[in-house]
Amino acid sequence: MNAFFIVLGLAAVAVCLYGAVQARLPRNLSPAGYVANTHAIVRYFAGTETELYSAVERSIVAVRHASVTATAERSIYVDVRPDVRRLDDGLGLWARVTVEPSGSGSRYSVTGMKKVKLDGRAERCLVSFERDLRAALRTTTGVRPIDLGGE
Amino acid sequence: MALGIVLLIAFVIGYVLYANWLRRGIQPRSGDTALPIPTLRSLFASSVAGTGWKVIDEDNPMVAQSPLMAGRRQQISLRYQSVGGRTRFVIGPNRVWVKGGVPYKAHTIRMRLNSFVHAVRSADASTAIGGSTGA
Repeated sequence: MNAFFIVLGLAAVAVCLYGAVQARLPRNLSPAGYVANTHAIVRYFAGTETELYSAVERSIVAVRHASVTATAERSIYVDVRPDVRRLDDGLGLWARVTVEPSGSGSRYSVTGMKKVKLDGRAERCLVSFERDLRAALRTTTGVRPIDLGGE
Repeated sequence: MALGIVLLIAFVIGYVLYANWLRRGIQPRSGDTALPIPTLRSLFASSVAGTGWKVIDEDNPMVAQSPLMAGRRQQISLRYQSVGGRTRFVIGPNRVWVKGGVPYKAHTIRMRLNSFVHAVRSADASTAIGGSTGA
């Protein structure tokens, strides 16, 4: 019985710590202050640049724990927060989705900026966010990236 | 005293060999097969995903992930490319945790990689596999 209460207490402390860290993390970032410090993930699409930009803008709403903080001519800035499904993906990051023309189609490039400099898991968070974005693109707008492996 | 030292040395050697075996077992496998991409993808879904694991990325690379309840997430990805009527692929873990020099939960990753390689070989005898055999 005592063990049960100890586990319950530890869980309560963990939840409080998580909330405290979340409350202290910065929530907003101006595009001018954005400096990418992760690798870039690039995906190619058949549609035009305008179509892709519009589809990405609509799809981000469907991505859990992500919200648009600013938009620019070709870029969308996103606040990506930790998600319970991605507990090992760090403390979140700011992501920038830049849409560009590419040949007869278009492409997007997703980069990230760590919210906490020493967060070594931000790269994984970026990969998870980009994956969720692709899933949202598929379900919300039906847009899929071109499979460069050939099918 | 001497017996203690011998046992200690034997333990250290055994630990190093075991860690090496685990590391070899989770090395990526590459291959070349006549199977079409949809078949390869379906073999990945049936042999790597399952028993708690599920496919979380349907694109190229295709990714399967361990459940949250099983602890730290593990992932295995399948990257493929169509070349001259055949399909080249690389399957391997893209998220592994190492604890004390030993890959964490390496057995499930090794078995899933081997299961995929075995399934591809069974479906197409002309499949050539490179990389670790995970033996």
